[in-house]
Amino acid sequence: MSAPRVPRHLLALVETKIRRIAFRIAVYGLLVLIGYVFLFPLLKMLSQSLMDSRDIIDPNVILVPTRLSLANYAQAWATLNMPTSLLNSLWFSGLLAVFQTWSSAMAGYAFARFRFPGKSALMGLVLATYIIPMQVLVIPRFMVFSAYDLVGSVLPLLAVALFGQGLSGAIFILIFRNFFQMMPPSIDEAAQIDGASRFQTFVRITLAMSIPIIVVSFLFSYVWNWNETYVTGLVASGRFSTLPLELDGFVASYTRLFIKPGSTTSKLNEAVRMAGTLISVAPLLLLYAFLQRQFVEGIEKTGITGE
Amino acid sequence: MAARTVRTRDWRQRSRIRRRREAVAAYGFLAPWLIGFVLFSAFPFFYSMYLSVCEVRFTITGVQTRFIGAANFVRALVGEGQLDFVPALLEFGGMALVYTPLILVFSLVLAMLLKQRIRAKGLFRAIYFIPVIILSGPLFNEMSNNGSLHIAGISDLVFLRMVAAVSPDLMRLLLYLFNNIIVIFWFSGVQIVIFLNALQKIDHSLYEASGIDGATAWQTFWMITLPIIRPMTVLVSVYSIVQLGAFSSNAVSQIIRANLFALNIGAGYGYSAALSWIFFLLMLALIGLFFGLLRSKEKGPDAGGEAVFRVRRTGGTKR
Repeated sequence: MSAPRVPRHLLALVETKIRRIAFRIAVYGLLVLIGYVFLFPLLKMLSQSLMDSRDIIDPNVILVPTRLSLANYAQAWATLNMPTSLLNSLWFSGLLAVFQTWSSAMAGYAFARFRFPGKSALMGLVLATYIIPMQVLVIPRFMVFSAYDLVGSVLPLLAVALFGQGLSGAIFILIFRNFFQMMPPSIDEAAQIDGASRFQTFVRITLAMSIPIIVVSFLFSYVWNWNETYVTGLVASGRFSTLPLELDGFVASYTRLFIKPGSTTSKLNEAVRMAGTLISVAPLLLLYAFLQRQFVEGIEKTGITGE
Repeated sequence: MAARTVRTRDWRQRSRIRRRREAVAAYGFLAPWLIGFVLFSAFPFFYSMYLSVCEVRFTITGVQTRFIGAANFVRALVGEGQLDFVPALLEFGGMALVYTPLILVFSLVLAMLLKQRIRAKGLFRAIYFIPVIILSGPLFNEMSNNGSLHIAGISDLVFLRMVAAVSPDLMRLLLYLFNNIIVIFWFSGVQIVIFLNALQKIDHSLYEASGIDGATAWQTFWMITLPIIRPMTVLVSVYSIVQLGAFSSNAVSQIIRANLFALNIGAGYGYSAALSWIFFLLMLALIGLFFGLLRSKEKGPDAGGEAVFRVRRTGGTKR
């Protein structure tokens, strides 16, 4: 059978088409594979958390449990001190995020709108606070808080956020500065000619026009403060506990709750721990499911990548 | 004439007043941050520097500090610290040295993949960003206790066995990469998005121009994409180092915190402060290193134009 004659240019066209499709397949394949690697820890935890104690030990059961068991979740729920710790996390991170967003917006406005002596030096200090690790600052902070008998209370942490020194504070100040710089100053001037004070202009005009960036700042501040345990655990120690802190002390709490002294029952099984871990990240995943766009596209709005 | 001088003086005075008012307003807006900076950052910074050369004791009258010179640092680096702190510090330094370039490369590659015109781009981007939302110290600890950070059975891959037969070193390298890939990915979320945004802002006409000149995709990447992206690589590496350093489950942080309340002689606040300062200096060295390596040598805003020029000069592949 002789091959039908195909014009050469058509062959070339088919060739580029095939090459393009192959490239497509490779790209999708990689993206899916990488997505699997990203999600692997969560998938593994999910499957383990649903196993009963026999499946966990059985080496033949790898990812799919043979019997679904929700008992782990019930135990983990109690171990995490659940409604209380969730509520604590919810309002505590919320307040921190509000305070941090507010103080960062004010500082960012000062850097974006005004000329004043010492401006570049102060900007340098803002950036320096980003590089100084928390480990250096936490010791004296803790000493001062304990000198005023504030350890075990959330007040000092709220104060730190309200005065602009919260987690990754420099990032938020930079974000607001960049955003305000992109807004035309003529709007502010117009408001001032109409008799508004500087503060009124800031609140009623500038902030009112900056809702998208306020949302971004609030959300990032919220989840980062939610996940912070190093300083929170130290300062709020014992008396106030958030969900991630409960996860940190999971083994101890479980032992206290479910293992009677002198009993021969086996120690904490892996499935309960994984159920606890998943319960602790579930609220954030839920938040992310709804606000995914705000998070990912938020970084674009920050102007970090330049205009 | 007279009236004019008066007016000039008047104008000057008014502009001086306006400038002063502007400065007052600026400091008004900055006041909360400034107060916080002095109370919660500057003071602790210098106080911990002071503590690091002191022995701190608690008495009924309050905290007593006694200057002991470099004793805390000596203890940390050549004394008892050799048992726990020095290994942890070296481990962190090594991790930052290896992870930072890997995070840079992987996040740039992932950003370039996401930049392709594909369906469900938003979905992939959203998945890659999940760790930024949920990653916390306790979560990380649970995952590493549980073995979730290693993909099961990877060391049994036939491919790896084949590599091992040729070069055991290469095998070890690949195994290290596979064993750490999840952690590296989980620390890359923000960086991917930063690179992606930067890539999307590159003027498309640059690529068209280089295409007309016959540059291959490989050449285009090295001569156009990379030079333009370069300032971002500095930002991303600093971000990555700070992120790794701030991560609460790293052993150095744990040792610093544990020593605060340690009762054995020589430990305590002063010793902890010294540990934190050694850690800070290491962080500075790491940041300085990557800053020096990645900072672009040619300055000027026209980096893109320069890149095109270079493509033209060296010539693309001849077809």
